[in-house]
Amino acid sequence: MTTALSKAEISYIRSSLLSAPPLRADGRSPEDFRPIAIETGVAPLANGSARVSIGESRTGRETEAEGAGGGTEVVAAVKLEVDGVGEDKEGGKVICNVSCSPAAYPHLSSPALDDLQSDLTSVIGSVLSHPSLCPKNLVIVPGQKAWALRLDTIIFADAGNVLDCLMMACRAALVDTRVPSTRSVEYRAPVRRNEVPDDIMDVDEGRNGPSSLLETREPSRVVDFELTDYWDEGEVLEVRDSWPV
Amino acid sequence: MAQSTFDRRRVNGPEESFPPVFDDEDDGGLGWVAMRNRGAEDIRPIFLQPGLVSQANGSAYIETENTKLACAVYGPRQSKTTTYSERGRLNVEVKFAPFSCVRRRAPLRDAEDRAVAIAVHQSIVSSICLELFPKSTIDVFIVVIENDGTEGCIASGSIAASTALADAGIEMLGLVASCSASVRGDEIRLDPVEKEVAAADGTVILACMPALSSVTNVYQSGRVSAQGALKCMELCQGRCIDVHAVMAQSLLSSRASMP
Repeated sequence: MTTALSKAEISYIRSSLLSAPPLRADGRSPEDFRPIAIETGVAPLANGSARVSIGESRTGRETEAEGAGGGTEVVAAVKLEVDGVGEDKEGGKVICNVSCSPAAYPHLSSPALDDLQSDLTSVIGSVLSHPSLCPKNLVIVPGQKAWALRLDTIIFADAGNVLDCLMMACRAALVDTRVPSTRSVEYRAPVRRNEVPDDIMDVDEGRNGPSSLLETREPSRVVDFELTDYWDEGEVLEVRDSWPV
Repeated sequence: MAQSTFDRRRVNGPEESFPPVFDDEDDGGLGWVAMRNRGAEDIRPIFLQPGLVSQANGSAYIETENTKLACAVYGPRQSKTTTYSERGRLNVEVKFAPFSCVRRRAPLRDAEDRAVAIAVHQSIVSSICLELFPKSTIDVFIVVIENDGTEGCIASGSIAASTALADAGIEMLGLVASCSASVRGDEIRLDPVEKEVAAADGTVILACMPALSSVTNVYQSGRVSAQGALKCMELCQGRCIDVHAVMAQSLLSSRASMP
């Protein structure tokens, strides 16, 4: 996908892969992964963030001169927004978005880039936005307010295997997320109860009230997931000839 | 109310309108527990008719209970792009009619259209001998007339597309049949409808070429154990052989009835 291969290159790669033992251009065995680097907390304004790069990107500067480029790099960040929910819904949802930097795909035209973005978004979205995975502590006031977790990812470079990189970055960003703790408040005044539409006061008081924290982050991990399943869910088997050799 | 995009080409309905709320529908998990009028491993009966759209090179109309869609194939025709491509291109476009779903869909392309199109593309692209059509494009247009679950659309779309391609006389390695399954706990049900999918833990869609015993597309989403996914794939493959027989029969009878 990133580079156009001539027929000679294709036949060279194919014949090396078909030989016994299979040979790959960088000497890896068919089951080897390139070195993975994960950093969390890269975006200070986000509720959680992570950067994953597969293959050398920062450290191996001398390899960037090669045609194949450094590695695949993806940054994911989580922002939480307060959202109203209907009475019958559980509350809380995870919304994913993938955007591709044009620098990562210099040969793709703009509509093709948009299509690629929406394809990757729907793949990641179908895995992570599944209702069975929605974490329970995204609810603030049951039946009225909940957090909407917006997970945005940007692909900065693509040297193959971008889906694995995206999944790793999303998972790392979700693990890094800290949900501000809230307390719901009732008005004791004569008529009003929590069903008042201008409920936004409740949430603010929960956070900035006298006895609660002014800083909205807690060191304990507040978001609860079953994380081990992420790799296996939502498999889409696609024929991709462009994976690195 | 924000000004919605003014679509001058169509007669717009009122700006604010809501679909009616039906009283009895909220059964939650009951959609699964309620008895289907067929067995867990039975698929809905298929009506498949090739050759319906006369101006297309090939076409097919498929109807299975509440999923109805029509597929038209144009091609191979010359690619509009100037870049030379040795292999032909397959272009699949899916459109949901505004009246196809319970809530009216705006007649704009959105993400679900594209997701179905990609799945159908993935299912049929390996069955077509694209090396025989350099510089050409084969266009497959699918219109969904009634939608009962995305999985049903993808499966029926693949079946209709493969039948339409055969009807158009395009060289293929084999007919592609497709089947979907939904899983809840240990129970597997084939060919789920929308209610069953909503109540299920996960779904598997499988497209394969029974004549060559090869699988072209597997799509699994939701929470399914590895064993469960493999079992779904086996059941779907078994069913695809039956679907293949239906497709072959409908193509033969449409050819036989041609003058």
